[in-house]
Amino acid sequence: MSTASPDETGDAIHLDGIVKRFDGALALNHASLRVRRGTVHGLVGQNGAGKSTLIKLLAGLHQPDEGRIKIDGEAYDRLTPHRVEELGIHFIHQDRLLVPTFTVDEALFLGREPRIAGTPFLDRRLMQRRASEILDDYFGIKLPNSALISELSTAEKQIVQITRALLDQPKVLVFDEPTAALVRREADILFRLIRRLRDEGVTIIYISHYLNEIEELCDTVTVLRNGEDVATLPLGETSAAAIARLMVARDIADLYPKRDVTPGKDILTLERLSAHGKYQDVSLTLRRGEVLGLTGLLGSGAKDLIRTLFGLESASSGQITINGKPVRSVNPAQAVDRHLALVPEDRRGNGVALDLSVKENITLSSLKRFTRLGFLDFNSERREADDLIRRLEIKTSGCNALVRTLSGGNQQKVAIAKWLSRHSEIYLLDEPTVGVDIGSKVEIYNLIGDLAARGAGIIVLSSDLPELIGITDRILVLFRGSIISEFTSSQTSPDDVLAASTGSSEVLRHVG
Amino acid sequence: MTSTIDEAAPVQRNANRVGWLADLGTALRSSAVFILLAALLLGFSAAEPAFANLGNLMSILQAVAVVAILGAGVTVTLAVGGFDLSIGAIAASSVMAASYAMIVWGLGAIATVLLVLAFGALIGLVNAFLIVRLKVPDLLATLSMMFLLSGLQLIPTAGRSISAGLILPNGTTATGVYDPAFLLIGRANLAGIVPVSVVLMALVAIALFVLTERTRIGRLLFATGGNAVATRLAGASTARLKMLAYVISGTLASLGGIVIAARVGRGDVSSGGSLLMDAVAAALIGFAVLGKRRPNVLGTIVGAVFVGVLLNGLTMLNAPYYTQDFVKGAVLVGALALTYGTVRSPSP
Repeated sequence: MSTASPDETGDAIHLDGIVKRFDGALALNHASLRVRRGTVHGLVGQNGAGKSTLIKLLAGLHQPDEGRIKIDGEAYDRLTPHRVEELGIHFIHQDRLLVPTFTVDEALFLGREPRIAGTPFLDRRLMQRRASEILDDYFGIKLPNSALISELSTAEKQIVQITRALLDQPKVLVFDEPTAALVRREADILFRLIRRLRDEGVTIIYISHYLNEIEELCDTVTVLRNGEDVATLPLGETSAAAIARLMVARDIADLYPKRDVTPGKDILTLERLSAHGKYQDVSLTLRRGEVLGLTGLLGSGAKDLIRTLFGLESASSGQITINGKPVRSVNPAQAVDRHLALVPEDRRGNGVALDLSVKENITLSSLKRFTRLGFLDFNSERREADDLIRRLEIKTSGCNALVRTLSGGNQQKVAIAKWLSRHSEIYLLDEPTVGVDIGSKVEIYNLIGDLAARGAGIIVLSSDLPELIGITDRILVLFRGSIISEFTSSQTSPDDVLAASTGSSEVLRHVG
Repeated sequence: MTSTIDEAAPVQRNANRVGWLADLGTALRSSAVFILLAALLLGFSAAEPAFANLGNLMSILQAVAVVAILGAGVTVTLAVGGFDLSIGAIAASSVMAASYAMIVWGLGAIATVLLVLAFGALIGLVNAFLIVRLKVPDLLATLSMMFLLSGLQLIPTAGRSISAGLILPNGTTATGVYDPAFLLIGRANLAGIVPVSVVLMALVAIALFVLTERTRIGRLLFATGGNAVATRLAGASTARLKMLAYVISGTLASLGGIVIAARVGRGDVSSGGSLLMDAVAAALIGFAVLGKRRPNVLGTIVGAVFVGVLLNGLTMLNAPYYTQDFVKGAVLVGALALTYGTVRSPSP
């Protein structure tokens, strides 16, 4: 698409020996990234490895403390976002906000609106023509020019972002977790586009948590760990598993640690539980020491079931028995009193209070234990928080740090620690590792195993099937509100569970 | 390949070296308001020796007492993530209600105080009902309540101010008078030095400080403001907590109204004009105190006193009265810049 002047190195981007500190904390420790022109270069690393810092340096949003940034062989001292864009480097980012009240055209040309020659008036016709050319050529779609950004789907918004970059004939495109909110079909379109752009000479930097995408798409990959580049490898010579090992410096075989716990007494029983339009006749038994998996597609009723157990929705008929006692209606406060714990999927929205401290979050549901005559006992509260921070290996600068400052995995540990402090016995974990890096995932799996070993009953709701199989004893699959299959985790595969949750095994049974 | 732990060690050391500078910065930021307050006190005393005498300092506190009491209520509603725009109107209607109770109904001091406090609590309850039950956004609910009260306080007297000998809409003349005991709230000094209103301010400050910072309920109030859903999922009743916050806010606003009524000794229809803004400003300035960056009672009281000292000192130095709002605004802008502008960039 663009013809860069050739130079000796052939590097489009060369970040060399970059050091960057934030308030004394070292984010990048002599990290280097060297991207050859016209290639797709993957950038991977756990949360906190320094990926986003590196990209922000390249975007001119931060300045490095040490090291050099070379673009097309030329070193730049103080990059600004504006200068970077002039150099033809564009960033496609989930959180890069498009103005939601703008039309597609307005958003595409924001800040560089073409004008009718010699006048201050916008050349709307030219804007429309150029936009539809690119949309048609690269995506084979038409977006209604007058549609508002807020009316577009996530994938369409991304297309607008990419189109906006393409209008500038970019030399380098940086994709930051572009597929996080896309369905597979949309991701495939994106991959085709990226390959085509590469073939046209555009250099691509591709950042993703999904190693299979890296494997599928990239020519080269750089692995960051603890602020350093630990390896840069051609994809021909490596594999997703090898990359994962480099990321965590740990063998991936230990990814799903499973404890063998002999289940004890029944702790939670559902008998023919129904809620109109959500689920029907659900019966299940959870025993102490057992990890029960629950899965199903969107609308299968699995989520509603969890919400009912915690008193956020109500069942229309059926019986819930907790610890041998039949339970009538519940609200969350009563659920907590009955030693139920809910770790919701939307961690930042519902699981933790970001602007409260780690300590305040940990003791939120167990405050009564740290209260004497209504007054807080700060010492015992602090001891409890410190104790759980240690036990769960929560990485934080201290128990008074705001939860906002923690990484996703550590926020999730705080969300779970809250229930450990409450001495909960029945854990309802809704997508417990979504958005959590690999290292923290393993720690959360271990924690789930520990809880089971201590006699808690655990229900894990997850759509990550290898994970579900890896950490549970049994799996129940819901389909259209009914339990359609039960699997013993050690004797099943993701394919079987997936087939059941899409209802296809039922079809087969009927046919066969 | 070195292990993860080995790599972490030098990172830690580097962090420590730069750490103490950052600590010093944090310490400076969190005590900035106190340092400025001390500087003001010293500066004004040097420029105008009369400033530093006990009587003047007490008159400063007396001047800020009402704003501080209302500000404490604002702090609590801010803590639950709400906002109470009706406090100024509650205070103003409380002035009218107290006057009406004594002059028209002939009630005594104690009955009047209890009645007016109950009135404030009731308004708080209505606010809470609108916000918690009917899900009206807090700003809109309390804004409408503000309008409603501004009008309501005019109705019983057909828009007239209330003082002894008031002629009622039905033509009769009210026979009651302000109870002298009631007037003591606004005019008496304990031990001849400390005004009763300042004592009330101190009591409110201590009670609310203990409630918000030292009790379980206080923690849950902040948790509700931090993340209402997470707090509810943790087993707390966020509806009741919000209700409590608005009732406290309404009650404190009516207490403020009682102090004003006792000070002026009549029910002026125009009283309480700038109370809302001043109280909110005090609470917001409070964010910067001790670097808390969240509503806190101590900060609010300090914020109110800070503005009071500044205005009193400037007045003594003959700054014209019409510069007062400008000064308040400037302090607020500065405090907010201190609160938000110096937030450390989050490490990645």
